[in-house]
Amino acid sequence: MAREKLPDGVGELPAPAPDALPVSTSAYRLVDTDELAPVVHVPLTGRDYELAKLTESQAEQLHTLGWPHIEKV
Amino acid sequence: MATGDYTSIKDPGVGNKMGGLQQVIYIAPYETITTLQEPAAGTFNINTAHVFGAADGFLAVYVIQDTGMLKINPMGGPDRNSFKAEGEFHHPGESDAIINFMNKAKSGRFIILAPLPGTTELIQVGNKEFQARIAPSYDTGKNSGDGRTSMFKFECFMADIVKYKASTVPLKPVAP
Repeated sequence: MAREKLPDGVGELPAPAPDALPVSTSAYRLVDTDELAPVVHVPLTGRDYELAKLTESQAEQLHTLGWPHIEKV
Repeated sequence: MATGDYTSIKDPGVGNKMGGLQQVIYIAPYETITTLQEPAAGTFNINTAHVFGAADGFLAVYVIQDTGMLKINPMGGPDRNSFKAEGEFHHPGESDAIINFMNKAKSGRFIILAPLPGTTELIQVGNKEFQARIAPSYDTGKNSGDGRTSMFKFECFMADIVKYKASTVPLKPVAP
């Protein structure tokens, strides 16, 4: 899609913060997501997660501990 | 282990067996569960998470340390035994949220997941046949006592003891 020309004096938007990186750039991805609620408690870690906001470190820990709903890309 | 099969239990194992419950308990109004999972074939374990509507899920309720407990007593006469689960937990104070929960819960029916300390396992209280009832109460105590407390007792008939061993407990989303 053609990009609109920004008005004079208006700069590009700042780059997103690392935690806001799109899922496709993550080293992990959720699997069997049809079995997952948007917000879950994981007994393995004793923590609650809003899966849409899962951070890389949380994903890494869940993967390391063998949580079955995450895999390395 | 298949249901109905007896097996030797020569050693209790080294797994943690700390008493009481963890510092949170999971409670779901029965009518909000769209798919209540059954124990996996041949077991007394539920291995798949229960399913709720988009706006529903288990409520996580904070439990004061050393107040959460669950006891499953025998019930019935010879050759006709079953179980009756009885539990309790305390929650500090009287926030608007816990008062709201108490007022609604006193007349509701629930599925309760009781997390066991030192494990990833939970005992499920309530099923498709019988649902848990919760009896809330409140005590200001005295000036020199532990402090104001919202207290909860719950009970439920159970044909069998069932563990919840799914990898997640679906939670009710927090309203934005």
